[in-house]
Amino acid sequence: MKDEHMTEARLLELIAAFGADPLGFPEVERAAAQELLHTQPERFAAALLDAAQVDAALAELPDIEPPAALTASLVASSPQARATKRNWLAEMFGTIRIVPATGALASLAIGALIGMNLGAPESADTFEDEAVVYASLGLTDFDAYEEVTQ
Amino acid sequence: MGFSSDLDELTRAASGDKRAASALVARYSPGVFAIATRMLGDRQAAEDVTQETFIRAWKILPEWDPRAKFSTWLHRVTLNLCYDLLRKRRDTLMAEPPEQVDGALRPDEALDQKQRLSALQTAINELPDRQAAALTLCAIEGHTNIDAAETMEISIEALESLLARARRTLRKTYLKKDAA
Repeated sequence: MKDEHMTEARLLELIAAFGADPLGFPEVERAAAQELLHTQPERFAAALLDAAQVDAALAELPDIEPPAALTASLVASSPQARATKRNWLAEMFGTIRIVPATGALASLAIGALIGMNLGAPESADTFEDEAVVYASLGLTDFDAYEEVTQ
Repeated sequence: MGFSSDLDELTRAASGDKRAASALVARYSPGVFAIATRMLGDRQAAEDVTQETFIRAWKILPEWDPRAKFSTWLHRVTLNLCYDLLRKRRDTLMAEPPEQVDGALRPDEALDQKQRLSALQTAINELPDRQAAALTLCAIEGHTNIDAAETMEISIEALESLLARARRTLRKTYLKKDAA
C-alpha cells in the first residue's frame, strides 16, 4: 500500500495522473496526499496549476445522453420472453407428433415392398442337387440312403 | 445500484423479462454510449457500438458468471469495439490521407465554447487509443482507478502512466503549453 508514507514524488505522480483535485486521487492514498498538500502547499503549487488547467478543460465537456430511439432499440433487442419460446417449442412438438406416425407408415410400406420383391428363398431341393449329394456319399438315391441308415 | 440487484435483473432479463432489460438499459446505456462517443467523437458510430455491446450482453446473459461485474464487462466490450473501429479508421486514413486539421487552441484566438469543445474532443481523439480510454474512464466519466484498470485489463500503475501521458499530451496539443 502506498497510503502509509506519502512522498513528494508520489504526490506529484498522483497530481500528474489524476489532476489537481484530491477527490480524484485513489481512495487509499487520498488522506495522506491531502495531508502533505496542506503541510507543504508551495512545493506542489506549480504541478497543481498545470493539472487544474487540464481539469478545467475536461470539465467543460458536456454530459452525453443516449438518444431515446437507441434506448428503445436496446430494450427491443433484449432476449424474448419465455412465452414466445414455448410457442416455438409447441410448434416443434406438434410436428414431432406427426413424425412417428409418418415414420411407422413408411416403415410398413418399405417392409411390404421388400417382402414382395424378395419372395420365397430359392430351394436347393431339386433332383439334380439331391443326386449330387447322394453321389458324394457313394449312393444312388434316397432309397439307397434309407437302406444305409437303417 | 447494488450488485445483487444487477444479478436479479440479469437473471430476469435473460428469461425475457422486458422490465428487467429496460432497467439494465436505463442504468448502463448512458455510460456505454458516453464512452463510445468520447472515444470515437462520432455519435452515430457510438450508437452502433452501443447497440453491438448490448447485443453481445443479451447473448451472454444465459451463461452469465454471477461473480463478474456487469458494468465492467460492458465497458470492456465497448472499449474493444471502439479500438477495432479506430484501427479500421486509421487503416482507411493511411490509404487515403485527409487534410491535416489543427484542433489546438491558440491563446490569441477567441473561440466560442462550441469551437473549444470541438477542439478538445479532437485533441482527445488524437491521443493514442489507450491513453484516450484511460482519460475517458477516469477523468471524464468518473470511474475509480480500480474500475478503470479492471475494465482496461491493465495494472493500476499502467493506468496511472497512461493518464499522466494523456494529460501531458493534452497540455501540449490543446492548451499549447510545454509539459513540465
